[in-house]
Amino acid sequence: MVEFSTASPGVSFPQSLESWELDSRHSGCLLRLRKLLVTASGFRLVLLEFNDPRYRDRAIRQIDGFPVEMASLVLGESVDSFDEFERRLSALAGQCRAVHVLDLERWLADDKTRESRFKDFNYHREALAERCPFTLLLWMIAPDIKAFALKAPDLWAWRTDVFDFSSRHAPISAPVVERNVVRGSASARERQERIAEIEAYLDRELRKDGSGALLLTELGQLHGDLGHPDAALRTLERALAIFRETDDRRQAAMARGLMADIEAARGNTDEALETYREIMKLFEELGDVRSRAVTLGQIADVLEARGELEEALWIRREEQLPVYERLGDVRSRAVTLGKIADVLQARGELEEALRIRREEQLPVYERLGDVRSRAVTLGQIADVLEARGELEEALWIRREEQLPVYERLGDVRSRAVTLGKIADVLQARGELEEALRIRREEQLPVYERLGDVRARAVTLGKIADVLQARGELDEALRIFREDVLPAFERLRSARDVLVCRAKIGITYLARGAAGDREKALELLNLALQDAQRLKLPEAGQIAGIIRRAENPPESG
Amino acid sequence: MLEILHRRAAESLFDSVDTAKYLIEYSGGHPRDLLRLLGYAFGFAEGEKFDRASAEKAVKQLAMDYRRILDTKDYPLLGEIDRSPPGQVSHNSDQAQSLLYNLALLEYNDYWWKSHPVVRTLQEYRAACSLP
Repeated sequence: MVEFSTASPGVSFPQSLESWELDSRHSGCLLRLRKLLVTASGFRLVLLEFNDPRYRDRAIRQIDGFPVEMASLVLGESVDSFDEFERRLSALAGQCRAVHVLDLERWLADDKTRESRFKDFNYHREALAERCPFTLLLWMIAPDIKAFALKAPDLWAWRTDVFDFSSRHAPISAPVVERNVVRGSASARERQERIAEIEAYLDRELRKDGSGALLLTELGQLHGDLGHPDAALRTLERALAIFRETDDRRQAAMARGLMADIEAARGNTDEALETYREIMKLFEELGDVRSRAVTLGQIADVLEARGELEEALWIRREEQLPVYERLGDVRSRAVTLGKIADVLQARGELEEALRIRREEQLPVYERLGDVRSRAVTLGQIADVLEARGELEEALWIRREEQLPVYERLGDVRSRAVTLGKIADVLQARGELEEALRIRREEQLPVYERLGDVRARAVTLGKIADVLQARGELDEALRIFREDVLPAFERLRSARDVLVCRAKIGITYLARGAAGDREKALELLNLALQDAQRLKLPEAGQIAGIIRRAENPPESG
Repeated sequence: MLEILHRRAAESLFDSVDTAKYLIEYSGGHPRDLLRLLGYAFGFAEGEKFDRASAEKAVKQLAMDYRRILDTKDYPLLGEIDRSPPGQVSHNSDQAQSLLYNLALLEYNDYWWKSHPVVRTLQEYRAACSLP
């Protein structure tokens, strides 16, 4: 056994730091320790409680990722006296800024030497401080910490901090905590039942610990799913308060991330980006490279939605991809490549987008046996084919490759989405009746059953598009104004609201009744202001429509 | 005590004087524990200043330090001493001396004993004293 080692960050253990592998409830502890180590100079005494050596080693791996030179002293049999202990520590002076002292529990276990060693700690307080110009990290079990405090009270009085890295079981193991709904495909009724179940449980015994807050996080997500963003935000705030109180800064960051998602959907993209960046910094400090990469992806999503494609692309290529490649996470790599393909597709680089989907994504999902992701990717390939005008091939993929998979998986939402894409093609080919039937009979009932307010509103919008194309302008206007716009307003989905206003404006222009042009211009200008404020690419299109409406070409 | 605190951390580093006073209150008048609370609050502070949240967490953390060294039987004794009239030392047992030695019990002027304020926040103490 190697009893003594010095190491630079990240190489003192066989595995280099890769990702977060601790209990999230220890994230606050870890950040406090990081702050202490980074700012400390000279002698500091820190006691760290543990009860599982394997978990302790994981914590040490995480700590060794901090930007501080670390070393370890393992108290094996050759460290047979306190003098030798001091000598070994002294030898580390000038080589590092912190030293892990390990196996104290064995070193203090022998009844013959236990008392004297505690006494030595106490009497040698000044000598230790003088010989150890670094932070001394004593990893100890709880009974030894108690004995240390009582038997070496003078050195205990010099402690800088005590950190608890003992691994704990989940504080609640009630059925309500264990259970979960599959949020992707659960029906609205299932979600509502789950909401009622969680609320009843929390009313009975709201426990201010991680599990109670995790339930609140789930509750917030369920409210969000059902189209109640305000309730979602309120619930997530409650979860956040508990995470903050228990100093679980990692879960607090996760909750803040979910709140930022809602803000981003509402068009508050600057605020959302600021939150994502703060969260990213925290993950960075925690050494949680995976969560940092995921947050970077969320930042890229927002930038992409704002039309800042270059920046989004740079993040995905230069920041996210290398992390997933280093972690050997082939799935996340494939997903990120898919997002890169999305941007390329949006920029019209269809060939490269297609190559990525076919050569980089599909083989990975096939190798992983991930039929759902394979079907989704095939759908994206169909999107490209559609954009290139290859409608038949796109239709074939959707009908023969995607639909059967979703039907087999019982994934009613994805089936409805795919049917919607089929309806898009039919609509583009002028088959308006069949497109309308699909939207009304196949999609709408599914979204209503799922309680997916947004998807329902989008589908109704597409129905209105068909009606508009068929010249049924009054009915199209009614749907846009009475069903679609109020839904998006309730969701506070800024982008959808402005697009819907623009569509109403266009429909008014098409109808051309008395007063319609004024109403149209008012709505279009409102949409333009919002698009410019949110820095959306739609601003250019809307400005063009307004210009044409204000300066119509002279007839004949 | 405020002067001691501000010599270590300037007044401008506190979000309000109440935060500083809160730390002083929970130090029990013990300078070392006051500086320890300040150090703990520094670890918990997420912003540029010491705020109430970081001070409250620091108090909780110091309470946990005392909890490590106290036995179950210590809490009823601490409660009993706290309920005794000021200035009247009702216990001179080894147990009480040990509590004085490890600072869970503080001695003020004229032998007035009182448990450390952070100890009084512990659930075990509150249960022993039938406090909510």
